[in-house]
Amino acid sequence: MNGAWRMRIFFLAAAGFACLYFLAVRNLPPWGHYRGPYGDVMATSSVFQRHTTDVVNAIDYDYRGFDTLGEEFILFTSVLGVMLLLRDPEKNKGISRSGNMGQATRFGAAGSYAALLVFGLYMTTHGQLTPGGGFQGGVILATASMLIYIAEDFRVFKRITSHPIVEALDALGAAGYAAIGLSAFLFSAPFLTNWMPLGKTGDVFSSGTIAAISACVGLEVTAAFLMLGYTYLEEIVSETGEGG
Amino acid sequence: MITPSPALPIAVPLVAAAFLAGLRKFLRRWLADLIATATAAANLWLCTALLRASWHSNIVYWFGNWFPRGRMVVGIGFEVDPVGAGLATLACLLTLLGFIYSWRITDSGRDLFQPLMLIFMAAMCGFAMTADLFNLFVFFELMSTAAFALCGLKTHEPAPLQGAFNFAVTNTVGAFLILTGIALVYAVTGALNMAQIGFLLGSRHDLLVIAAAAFLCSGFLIKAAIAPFHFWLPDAHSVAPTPVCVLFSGLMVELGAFAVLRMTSVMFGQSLLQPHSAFRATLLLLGSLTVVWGGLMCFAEHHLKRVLAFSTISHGGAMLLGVAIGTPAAITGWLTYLFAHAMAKAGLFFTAGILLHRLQSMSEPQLFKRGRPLRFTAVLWLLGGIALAALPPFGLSNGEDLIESATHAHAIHLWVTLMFFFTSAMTGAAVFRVGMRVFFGLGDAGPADRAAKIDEAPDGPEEQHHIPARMFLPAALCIALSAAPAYIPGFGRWFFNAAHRFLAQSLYIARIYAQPVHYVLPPAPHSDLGSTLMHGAIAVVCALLLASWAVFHLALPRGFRGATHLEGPMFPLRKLQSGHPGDYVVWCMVGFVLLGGCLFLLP
Repeated sequence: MNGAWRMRIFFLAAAGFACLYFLAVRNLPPWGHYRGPYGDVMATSSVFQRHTTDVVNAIDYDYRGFDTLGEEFILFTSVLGVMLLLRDPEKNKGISRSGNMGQATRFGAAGSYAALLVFGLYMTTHGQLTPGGGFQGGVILATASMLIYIAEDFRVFKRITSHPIVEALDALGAAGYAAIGLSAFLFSAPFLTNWMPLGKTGDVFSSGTIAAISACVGLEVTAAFLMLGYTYLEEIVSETGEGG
Repeated sequence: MITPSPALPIAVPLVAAAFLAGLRKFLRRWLADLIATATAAANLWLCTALLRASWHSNIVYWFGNWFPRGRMVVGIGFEVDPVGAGLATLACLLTLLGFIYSWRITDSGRDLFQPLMLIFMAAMCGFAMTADLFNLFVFFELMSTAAFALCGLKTHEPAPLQGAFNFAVTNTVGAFLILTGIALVYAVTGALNMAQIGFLLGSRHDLLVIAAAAFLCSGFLIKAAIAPFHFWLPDAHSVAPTPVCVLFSGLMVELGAFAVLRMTSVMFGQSLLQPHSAFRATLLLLGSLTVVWGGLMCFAEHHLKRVLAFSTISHGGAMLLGVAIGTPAAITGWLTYLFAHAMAKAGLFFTAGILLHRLQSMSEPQLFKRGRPLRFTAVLWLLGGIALAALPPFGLSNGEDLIESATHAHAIHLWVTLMFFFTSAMTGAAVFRVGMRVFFGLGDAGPADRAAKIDEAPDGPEEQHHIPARMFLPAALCIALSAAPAYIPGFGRWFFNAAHRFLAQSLYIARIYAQPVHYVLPPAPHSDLGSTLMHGAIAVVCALLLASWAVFHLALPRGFRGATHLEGPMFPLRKLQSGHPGDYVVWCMVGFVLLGGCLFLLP
């Protein structure tokens, strides 16, 4: 199929798609007329049932925690897949970076790194209280480490992120979630039952397994994004031009 | 016998996969193989125990101990019925055989093969057992992600990347369609549990329900490789390693059709699935299109894995016919067919893997005459062909007969019979033709097409001189199991019980709300040995004639060489299989509009 025919058929199909989509959306309940009781029940009961002030995290890591286990493993698998598909060492690499950055950049980066690290840890540990949690905190922690690549050079970044320990931490985070779920079997409760003490609403150490799972997810997401960053940079940055 | 927790078949392989992936730089190869194989074996045991336990009533399991409050479901639930547990068992069995087959193969994709296979297995188990619509989607995504990566395991050449890329793009389009469908359903019901949705929707049959069904079904039919959603499948199969092909063809594709039936029977049981509904007619139409398309292309291909991939498409279409008819007898036939096809196709893929291992090629012209010393492999290959052509004792014949007799004295009876004959004859003929050329060296080498030149990097460095038992045994076992419904008494009754329970919407919903349930089983239908023998024999003879026609075409007078056209360019079908992901997405859109339009417009 050449380009012109592809576009013609595509636009024809897209028109049909638009019709079907329009018919579906037009028949939806009007804006603001929420049908199910689920959202309202969750919003009022999760504070009492789970001592969590962030309802989204209560749903993510407790009420529907099994979905999130699947999502976490989707990230885990995706990173394995990216590492597998981009493993060819003999690719021609376009960008080469040489020389270190100036003192001002390095100083600024170090300061921002420290600030971002604290912010990321705060995000990861306070998910049960305020918006945030393991996924968000982990992404902040991992992207903070990109500052190493900006301020130093690729070799330093690679030395840190390609270490087998990072892979092991990634797996530990992923397995930790499943292990917390399995630990409920010790109390003959179903998988992922929140058996830990719930603590006082508003405390950092509250909400039982929600906080523990959030920490595991934070670890996994941090390590996974570090591995992703390394794999992508390895793909485009040539090492020979480095150092200067 | 204790009943294991239904969470274990998902949690255990995930933990093992994380362990293997995290420590892959420290683990020896044999240790990693041992852990992976032991995990698959343990999972097989767990799923078998669940299958036994689900026999008398469905097992309902609430994650996080969140029971429903009144009619509102709070958490995520599994409802394990015999069909779900049976498909999970099949996933574990095929994964275990795949691990045995690839025991200590040198190129294993930087030791990521075992963890990815374990994640794939866990996702298939979860997919088969869940009662939650969003959870079904999560496992669909996990299954797809693991499958994309496994497909590109051999990245020495650009072809595997291309196949994995097309697969990823089309299946992601499917994921978007499913997600849109879930959003529509949630907007009207405020629920994600399929039983609760089915309870709330009741017999509601308006534009919104139709649109939601169109979105959800198109998404899962992309996974089921139903025409015109099927283009990704041959590209993915021709580059994936053998054990991965076994899982793709044997189970992953069929799980797409399973999801369509599970969703529609639980959520839309009283609207879309009524007898003579537009939905059934649409599935019949798409299934027939798939049977013909897959069958024609199967015979036109000369890359062994692509031949088998198109045969999977054709058989998938035939199975969709069973789903479309949808009476308990037809679903019994569908289950029998699914099981027997999974085993026969697994056996054929393992046999193709033996050829790749011994002779370093997957291309029919290049393998011409070179398979003559491999006698046992030839026997397995031909038995696989006979199984695909649905000759008794192979289970495909029973399944075919049950589906056909479900339409007895009905206008579509002849059509369905013809479709099953077509898929049996065409796929059988393609396998026989390859066998005659490769193992017996008959006729000429046959035409070479572009796809046949994509050669796979073999597992070992050079031509091997013997076939290890770890490769031969799984192939032989699979072919033998394909005939299991014939020699294990009670198989038919089990399948009938499973099918009956699978279709009982009110009982499924009642179990979720912990209401007492009584199963009453009508007597099981029997497949008639005489008619299966006759149908099978006609299909096998036609397949042999067609194969001989293609192989010996040079010996025929010029006017009788028509078979070369069937083997040849097959305009325009081959042209459409362009390998361009943009084309495939366009066809997915066309398929969605076709399905949605039929649902809207048909009476």
